[in-house]
Amino acid sequence: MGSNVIMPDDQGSSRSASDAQKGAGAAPEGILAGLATVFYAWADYLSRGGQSSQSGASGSGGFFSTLWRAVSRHFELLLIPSVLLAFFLILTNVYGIHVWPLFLLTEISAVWLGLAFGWACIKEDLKRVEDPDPQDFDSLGFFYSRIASRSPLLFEITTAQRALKTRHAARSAASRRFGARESTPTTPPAPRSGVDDARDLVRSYWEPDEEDQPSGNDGERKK
Amino acid sequence: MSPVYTKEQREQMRKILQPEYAIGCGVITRDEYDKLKDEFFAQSELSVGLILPLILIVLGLKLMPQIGIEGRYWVALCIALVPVSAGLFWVGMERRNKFRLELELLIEGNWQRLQESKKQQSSSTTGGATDKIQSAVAKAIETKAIDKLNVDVNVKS
Repeated sequence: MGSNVIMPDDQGSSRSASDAQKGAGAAPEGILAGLATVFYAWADYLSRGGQSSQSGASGSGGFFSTLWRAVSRHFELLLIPSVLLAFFLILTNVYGIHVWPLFLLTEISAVWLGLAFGWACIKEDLKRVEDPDPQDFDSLGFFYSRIASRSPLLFEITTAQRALKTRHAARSAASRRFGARESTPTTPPAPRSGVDDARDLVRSYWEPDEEDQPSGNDGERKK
Repeated sequence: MSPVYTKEQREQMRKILQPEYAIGCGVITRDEYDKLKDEFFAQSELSVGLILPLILIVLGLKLMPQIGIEGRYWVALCIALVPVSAGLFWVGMERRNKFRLELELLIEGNWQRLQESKKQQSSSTTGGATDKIQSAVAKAIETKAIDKLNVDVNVKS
């Protein structure tokens, strides 16, 4: 792209200069707030030793705490678009470079950040099924609780791959931990994952107890 | 209550949850699939598809000299794009998940109905054979009784 990409503007450079002065006063609030959020998330990320996701319970909480957990755990997904957005905003607003591709790039980086954030929220929600000892369907997360409340078979099928992944991760961690001890001939039993607990919860909800069988209420779900 | 499935049935179910395979097997019809697709999947596509026009609208607002968003409004608009696009993406994924769920439930329900009808058919076939045997035995007994009766009549005469 050459110089012809610059917006045709009658005022020319005088308008750009005035915008630059205006932008320099206006931009810092928004940009600094965004940068502060990013650096706070970065500090949180670093404080956990660069671990992008914690193992085990993700817990539950309010709406904003869920969002914050999604941001802090999937920080590496959000870092590049955040930096790009801040960079382009500073270029277009503080330095007053009025070129349409820069505007477009600013918007694209904002949308990229939004998509990454949405993806992080969904990943975080899907991860909730791995919580050990789930109490009710709500603790399985939005997507899995909807499946579990409709069909236990579909729940089992959709979580099968996730359980395999969890087990594989647990096994590889165990083999790393006990890798040096080759002398033990017996293989340890498969570790029980949080997905198994979730399946038990769904089965206990849907399948009747043994003593309830002859009562003739097979058609009703156990409350 | 959901029925208890055997391991083989689960494996078959896993395979049959693929929509094209289910249509090929006659578990669901193409119309049912299209109807669900037009309802839920179209909503998903619509929601995700709104992101690109949103970018163009904001670019238009920025570039139009009559409006010409500048300064803090431009920053606010760019920052507002983040939650809006995240929301559109989330809604798109949610609708897609809903589409998959409804489709799989439809397949599961129809497949379960087919299994039950197959079971009933096989039991009725077995029941028919029993009836035939029973009627044959009854006929044999009857014939024998009539023969005996004939003999008795002959003796008396």
